[in-house]
Amino acid sequence: MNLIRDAFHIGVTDLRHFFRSRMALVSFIVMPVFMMLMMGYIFPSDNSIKGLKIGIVFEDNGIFANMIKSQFEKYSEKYGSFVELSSRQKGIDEIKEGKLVGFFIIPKGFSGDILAGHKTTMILVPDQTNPQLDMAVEQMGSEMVRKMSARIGKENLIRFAKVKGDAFKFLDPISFRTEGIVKGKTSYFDFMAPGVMAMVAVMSVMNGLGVAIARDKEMGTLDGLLVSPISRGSIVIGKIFAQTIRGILQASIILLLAILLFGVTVHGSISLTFFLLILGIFSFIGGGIILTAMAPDQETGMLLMTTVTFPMLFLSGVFFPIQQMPGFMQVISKFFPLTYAASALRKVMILGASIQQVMPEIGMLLLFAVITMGAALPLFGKLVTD
Amino acid sequence: MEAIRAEGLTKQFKDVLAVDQVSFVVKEGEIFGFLGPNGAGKSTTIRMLATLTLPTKGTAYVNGKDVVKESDEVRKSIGLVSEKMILYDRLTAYENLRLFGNLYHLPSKRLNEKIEEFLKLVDMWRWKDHRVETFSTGMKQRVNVIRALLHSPKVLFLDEPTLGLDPQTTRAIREFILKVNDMGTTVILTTHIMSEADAVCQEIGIIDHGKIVALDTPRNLKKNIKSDDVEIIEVEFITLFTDMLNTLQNTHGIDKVIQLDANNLRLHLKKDFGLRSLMKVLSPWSDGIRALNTLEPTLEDVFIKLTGHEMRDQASKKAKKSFAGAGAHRF
Ligand SMILES: Nc1ncnc2c1ncn2[C@@H]1O[C@H](COP(=O)(O)OP(=O)(O)OP(=O)(O)O)[C@@H](O)[C@H]1O
Ligand SMILES: [Mg+2]
Repeated sequence: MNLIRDAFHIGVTDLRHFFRSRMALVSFIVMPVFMMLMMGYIFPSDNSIKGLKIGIVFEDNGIFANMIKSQFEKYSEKYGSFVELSSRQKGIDEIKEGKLVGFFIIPKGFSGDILAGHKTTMILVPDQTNPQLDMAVEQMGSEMVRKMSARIGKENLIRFAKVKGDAFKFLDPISFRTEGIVKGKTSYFDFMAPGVMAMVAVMSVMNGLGVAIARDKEMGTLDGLLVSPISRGSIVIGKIFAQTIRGILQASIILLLAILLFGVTVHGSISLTFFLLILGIFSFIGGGIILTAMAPDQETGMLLMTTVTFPMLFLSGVFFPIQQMPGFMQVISKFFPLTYAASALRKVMILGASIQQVMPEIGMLLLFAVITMGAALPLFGKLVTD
Repeated sequence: MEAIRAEGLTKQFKDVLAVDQVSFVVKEGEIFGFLGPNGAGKSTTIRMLATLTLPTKGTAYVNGKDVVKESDEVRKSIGLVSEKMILYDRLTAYENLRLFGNLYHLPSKRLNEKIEEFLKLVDMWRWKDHRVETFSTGMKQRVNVIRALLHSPKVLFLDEPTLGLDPQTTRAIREFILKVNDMGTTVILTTHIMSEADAVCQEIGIIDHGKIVALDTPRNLKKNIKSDDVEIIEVEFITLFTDMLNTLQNTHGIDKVIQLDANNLRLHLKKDFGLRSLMKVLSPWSDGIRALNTLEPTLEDVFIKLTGHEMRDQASKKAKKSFAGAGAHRF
């Protein structure tokens, strides 16, 4: 009982000391804001890439070339501007000069072939330095061609095969529709916010613990704690308590930002969300203590921490789906508790999953927490003395 | 009763032997002073006694309890003022005292009374709700010292409690220490200031390169160097005559004749060459003598004789060291 009481006093002192520094307070709030804005604007939130400059080379001037031209004009609202080029060579030069992200070629005989009932092709020459943009331009081109092709096909059916009524049914009998569990379309933010919350909470605790202890050592206050008849454990528990509160507060800021600024909606239970966050933090503390205690000084400790946390960010499915990674990385990702925390938080926040439905993740997080804390327990003392 | 017993206390840091076979006893109710140059091992010794550092070899007992095996018991009965202030600088004086008092599980009401009593005693009551970071070094140290006393420890360790303080605060702290000692607290203190040690300590241990080189009362320490050493006399004349200087220099019982200025001489007399013999030698010029003083040895002389280097040098080095190093936090 005394252990908890002593820990509480130490934790409260830590929080007080932290929140009374204006600088610390500002960075405490700015960091999550910055994080969200950065992540939100750097990573494409949907496929709308705007402001592209795309060229077109008309080698054919027939009726269908004109139809394409008017299509492009329609698309320009969504994608950017289209410019007519005099030749393929001109287009290649402009790509090399960085003026275009690619150009389409309407080859000679384009309209004639269609009129004659032959197959014809529209060509895209992409700027191959930027695969992501290429993909967007390619998608746009193929979508446009598919639509036009279907329309011409329909007219052909009516004209040549004398089909009556809605010819699309013949040409395109199957259609496709998505029905979400929750209403509305989820954006990249919905995907990212739960992971970022978990990540910020975890990182702030991992780094904060080492810093809090190093600061007490440097200030001399640690001697005051150590010379008093309290257990070594209560010092560490007190610091963990303070850091956990900090982590949770920071995660809440992220959540608020996500809701207010980026239109994220939380469909599940908020208390379950926070429970998972705390569990996520606990699954890391043992590891944090081991790393901090292992390091001969604070600088090395920070370095060790970064070495572990940096790959974790990319391997835990916070920013990119794990399924997108190569096989061996998917295996590695299973060793980071953040993977489970992010996944459980996503299920709860986006899909409104219940506690039973995230049991596997909870189990894994508990497992991590118990194993690493068990391993860290003997290092509790070493953390505060040397 | 013994407040402290150290037996062969030794601390080895990687390649530095910081404390080497230190043994001593401090009686209950005493004020014991540790003197020594920088890096002598004073702080390390204190830290071992205060259970903050494990000894490499040797044992020590505080209030009869082993500092290693019964460290929890030891901690209950000691207070520590270490080289760095044990105060959270963004907390107020009151909050700091509450925190540290709470760690000793003092009943809340009693703790509040104690804090009020002590803060008033050191004249800091009206600053109780100000943050420590806004205090001067002296104000901080007053709060820091009472922090170490809230739980009425039997033994109080003070590691250079007056370092960097002005004369007024130094005196205030010193008087406070004496008051605390009067109430029965045993005090162990380290210092660089010889006069401070001389003024307050009943027993002094001089430590150099990790070893205790002398252990006695200040009076005995001074007497000892006097008895086996020269006696120093300063004489002031109206004018100094060359033939007089020659005579003094050629007198067998006078070791050294140092001319301090146009009127003053300092003479080192052999111990069997008394003041009377000197007066006899000086009788032809006795009309010109204005004053004659015997210089008592100070602890500083003791220190220089025992450690072979001057304390003042060390003290100035110390100032530089703390300026460049952890000093930013200390002041
Ligand atoms: N944690 C440590 N690691 C390595 N060496 C240390 C450590 N603490 C002290 N020392 C070394 O032990 C020796 C004794 O140091 P200590 O601090 O006890 O001296 P001190 O007498 O208190 O000196 P000062 O007057 O400067 O406070 C020094 O050489 C010092 O460098
Ligand atoms: Mg020291």
